[in-house]
Amino acid sequence: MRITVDHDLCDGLGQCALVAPEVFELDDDERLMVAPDPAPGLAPRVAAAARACPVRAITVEGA
Amino acid sequence: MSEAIDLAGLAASAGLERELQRLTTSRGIIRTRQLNQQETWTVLGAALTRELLSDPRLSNDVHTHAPHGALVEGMPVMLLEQDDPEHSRYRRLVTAAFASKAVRQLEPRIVQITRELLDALGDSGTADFIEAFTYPMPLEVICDLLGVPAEDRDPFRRWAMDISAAPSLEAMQKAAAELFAYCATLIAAKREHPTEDLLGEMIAARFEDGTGLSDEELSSFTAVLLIAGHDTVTNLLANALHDLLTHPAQLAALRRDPSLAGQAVEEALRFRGSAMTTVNRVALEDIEAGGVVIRKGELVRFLLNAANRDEDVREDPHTFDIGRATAQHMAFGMGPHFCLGQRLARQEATIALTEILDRFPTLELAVPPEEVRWLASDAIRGLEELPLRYARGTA
Repeated sequence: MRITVDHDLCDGLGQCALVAPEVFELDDDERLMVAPDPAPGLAPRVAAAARACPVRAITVEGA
Repeated sequence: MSEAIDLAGLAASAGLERELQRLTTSRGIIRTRQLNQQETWTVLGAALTRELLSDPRLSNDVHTHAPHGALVEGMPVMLLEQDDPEHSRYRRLVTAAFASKAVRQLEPRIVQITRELLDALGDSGTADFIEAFTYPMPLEVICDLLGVPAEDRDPFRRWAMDISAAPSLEAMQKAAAELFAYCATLIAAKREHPTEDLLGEMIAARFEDGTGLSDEELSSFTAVLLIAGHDTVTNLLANALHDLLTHPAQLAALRRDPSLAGQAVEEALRFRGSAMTTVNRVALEDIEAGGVVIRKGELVRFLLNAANRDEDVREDPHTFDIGRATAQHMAFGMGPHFCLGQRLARQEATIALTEILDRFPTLELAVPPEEVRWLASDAIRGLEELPLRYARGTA
């Protein structure tokens, strides 16, 4: 699966990290970090994390 | 099925929180009756709240799917009563204004407003701190940000009270109609004479396809930012002051170390947040949750204050402890509708607590604790008034 974050849109709200903490994490400056190559089994939660974003800054392909 | 509970009636007592926890432990989701006599599901449990707040089978677009569940019928409220992708499309227009950088830049102005209001209280006395401080402070901040003229602000408190803490359906509808009409007039004036403020920016904003917001959308946007932008902080701050003053050891800890103000705000949000209940969602299909079946078309709302005191996720939930050091509460909701203004709210509350305690070494309830009156509201948790005795010197 390919995860793309639009950092211009991302506001560092961390809603994705609440849903899928294995994949999404905010650093100390509230910048979103995405784990490379998440396990395919996490796909449903990654999709849910993208849906949880208030500004839809996360795009998931091939999930 | 058990009888629907009248939350507003329960809220009029200080015992609301314990009663909610009793209900949470036994059920997790209950039937409640709203002001317009509609029955809704109300989610109490923390786990269920987390699960359902991000569930795409629940829609915020009640105007399309269940008009009887709308805040005000016929007047869709921007963001709150929208689903993605529309919701995020509109939200993006105002994201920058409430992002961390923009909110940090507001700090000096918030401090200035705070100090001016505290100056007006003089060296000592007794005052309703809601009237004197927790209402005007966030109102001035949001009006500055939006560009709402100072001379227009007189009716706002009544509108906010009638809408959030609605005493009756009629009063609520009347206040909403007046507020929307005011916002429409304001937008028309700003179209005529553009101003450099958030409303000016919103009028000028264009989506990717080149279109902008309609007058109706702008009025609704203004209304929601204006009311949600102050009323929540007014009540949060009053609750925070009340809870600190009734927990002297916690107050003393904060006075000893003012750098704990941010933590105190987080605990105040968890312990007795002001935005107690979310707006309604409507089920787009049958949903099994918490041992019940929510039928397609039924209304669902979330009682965040109950989730924040759920014993399953919180040790000693009824203990007010600013040492908890966790922002992992749900006072600002969760998921796509996570509070737009949470950073501003946190900053305002932190500055206010810091400045108030610094200004008044003597600060205490001016009535016996059992005499404070709670708003009979199923939406907002707050006090009718907060009479405090204050002095610049120690007693």
